Amino acid sequence: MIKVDNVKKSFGEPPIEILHGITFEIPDKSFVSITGKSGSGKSTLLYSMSTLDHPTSGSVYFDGVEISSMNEKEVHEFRNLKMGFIFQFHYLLPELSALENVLMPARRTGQHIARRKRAVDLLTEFGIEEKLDRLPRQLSGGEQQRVAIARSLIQEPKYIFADEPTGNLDSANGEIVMNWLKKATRDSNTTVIYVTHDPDFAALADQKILLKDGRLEI
Amino acid sequence: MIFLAFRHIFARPKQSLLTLLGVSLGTTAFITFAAIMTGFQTFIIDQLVNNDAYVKISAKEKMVSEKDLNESLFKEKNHVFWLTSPSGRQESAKINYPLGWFHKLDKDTRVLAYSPLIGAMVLYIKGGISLSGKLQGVDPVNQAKVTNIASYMVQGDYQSLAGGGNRIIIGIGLATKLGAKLKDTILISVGKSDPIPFKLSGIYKTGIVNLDDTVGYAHLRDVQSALSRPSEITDIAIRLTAVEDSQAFAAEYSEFTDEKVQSWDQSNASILSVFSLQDFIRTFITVAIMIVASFGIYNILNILVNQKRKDIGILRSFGYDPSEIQNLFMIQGLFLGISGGLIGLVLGFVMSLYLSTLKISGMTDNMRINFSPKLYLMGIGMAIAASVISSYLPARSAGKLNPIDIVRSGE
Ligand SMILES: Nc1ncnc2c1ncn2[C@@H]1O[C@H](COP(=O)(O)OP(=O)(O)O)[C@@H](O)[C@H]1O
Ligand SMILES: [Mg+2]
Repeated sequence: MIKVDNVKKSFGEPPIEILHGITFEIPDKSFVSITGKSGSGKSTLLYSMSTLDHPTSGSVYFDGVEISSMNEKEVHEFRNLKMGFIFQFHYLLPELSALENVLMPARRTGQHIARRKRAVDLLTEFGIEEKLDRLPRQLSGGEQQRVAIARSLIQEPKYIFADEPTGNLDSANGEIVMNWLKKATRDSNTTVIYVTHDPDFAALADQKILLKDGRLEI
Repeated sequence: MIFLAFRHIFARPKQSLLTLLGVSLGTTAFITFAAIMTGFQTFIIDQLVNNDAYVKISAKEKMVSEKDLNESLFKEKNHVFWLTSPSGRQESAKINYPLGWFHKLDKDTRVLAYSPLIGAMVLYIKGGISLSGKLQGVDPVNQAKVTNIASYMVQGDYQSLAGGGNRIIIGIGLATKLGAKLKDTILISVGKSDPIPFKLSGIYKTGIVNLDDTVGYAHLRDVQSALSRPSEITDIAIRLTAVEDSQAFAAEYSEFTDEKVQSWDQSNASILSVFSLQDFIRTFITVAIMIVASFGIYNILNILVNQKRKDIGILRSFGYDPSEIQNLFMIQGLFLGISGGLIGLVLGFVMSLYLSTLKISGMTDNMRINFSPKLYLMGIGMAIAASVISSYLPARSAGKLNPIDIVRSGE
């Protein structure tokens, strides 16, 4: 379970407050959308929740453990083992093949050999079993994003954070990607929190967070 | 991180190869320079050490002082005033009581051999040519034990001096200038009396111009009588069992005598100071080369870190920590530096092998090249040091990048 408690976030000097005290809870195994106009603070909220950024004030708890109470090492381990990230731009490492990219998080703890079968299974499920050894530039945008999703799933994380995962794809490919994401997490213990502009994709969520000017809109 | 580091290196073969080449060339240049220079220096030092004694005791030239004259001339008077102070050499320098020295040297276990000498500046005259130079009166048997002169003979026999009878051996340079051949008669003028004829019974060649062009050797007794200084000597040349003892030995003997006691390095201080200048220049050039090579690594890594901001952001997002990111780039710099250094060692070795087959004009031997492992250790040490230093800053800046800034900026 994730608990977001009165999170505020300011940028700059003098500080301009972007998030004005956000509070909500997300139960385990949820599929959660964050929507709102451009500039309403969706990305800011997502990153403040996900350890990549820190709230200016307020707290974020994962299963009762406050992020700010973890030390550096614990944060890195937490990211590596419990979290997956998907960004608008696929961000694959260009020197590595599709399969190697998927296994990169597992490589940190030397698990890339043990996880290889899972990686192949994921890529097969996503329809790119023929292209395991291709470099990112030899894949289409949609295929690249599917590899990125496979990578976010490789460690069987408890939480996946996705910032407009379909933002760079045409609607057909976007739909494929979202459906895979939903399908891949449906039978697992994974919570997915994704930012999206698209009402159709937002409709897939079991919990919807709507932001307006840095405040929750119920 | 090694895995990804190598992928980075091989994904940019041209850049990597260029950097590698820079370090290799730097190391090759270092090895080659150092091998030639230190090889040459060792050769010269070898010559210096072996052509001259390890330690030489030389008579000190005593100058006349007011006090000396006051005492002998005006003993009873209290105050003597000189209009012009007395000056000049008291007499020809000679070693006082040489037998005392011989006894002492006989007993000293560090001494391998010693040889009394008398040296004088003379004119070598043949035909219409007269050249100034130095004539050394030697005890041929002992002199051969103290220096390697006997092994430098190119014509005639060194031991021909042993019989006495005004025979002389001169250096090849001097012989050429005089136009003297074996068995020719050379006149030697010591200033006061008529020139005295000596018969040329040998020619030596040390390779050191200073000796080969000016110094002649004759029997001690012949020179003593030519100079009208019977049984006087001016130097004692000493060879020790270990050359490393020379300095300590000279210092110890200096303590209790007025005579000048000098080890071989003191006698050749001017040449050795040229060497230290050479060493300085070599160090300077080497450091310059290494700085250039370091800049190569530094630049490449800096560019790479900038190009790889997105990759760093994504790696951080799945839990790689700053030190792992830093390692990613350190490994690349170190790999290029170390492998470049190793290639440089091999190339330097090959160069050295080739150079050691070349002859230098004017020398009979091939070039002396230093193949000491120390040199190669220094070479690789420098390559490693240069790559550590030049990789550290870019790698650290990569480690310090904040993932959120990268991820948010999108590009
Ligand atoms: N690092 C930053 N420094 C200053 N302002 C920022 C920074 N990041 C985001 N903002 C501002 O915060 C607001 C919300 O941004 P963001 O969370 O990216 O919105 P969204 O993702 O909903 O489009 C925007 O006005 C943006 O300009
Ligand atoms: Mg955004």
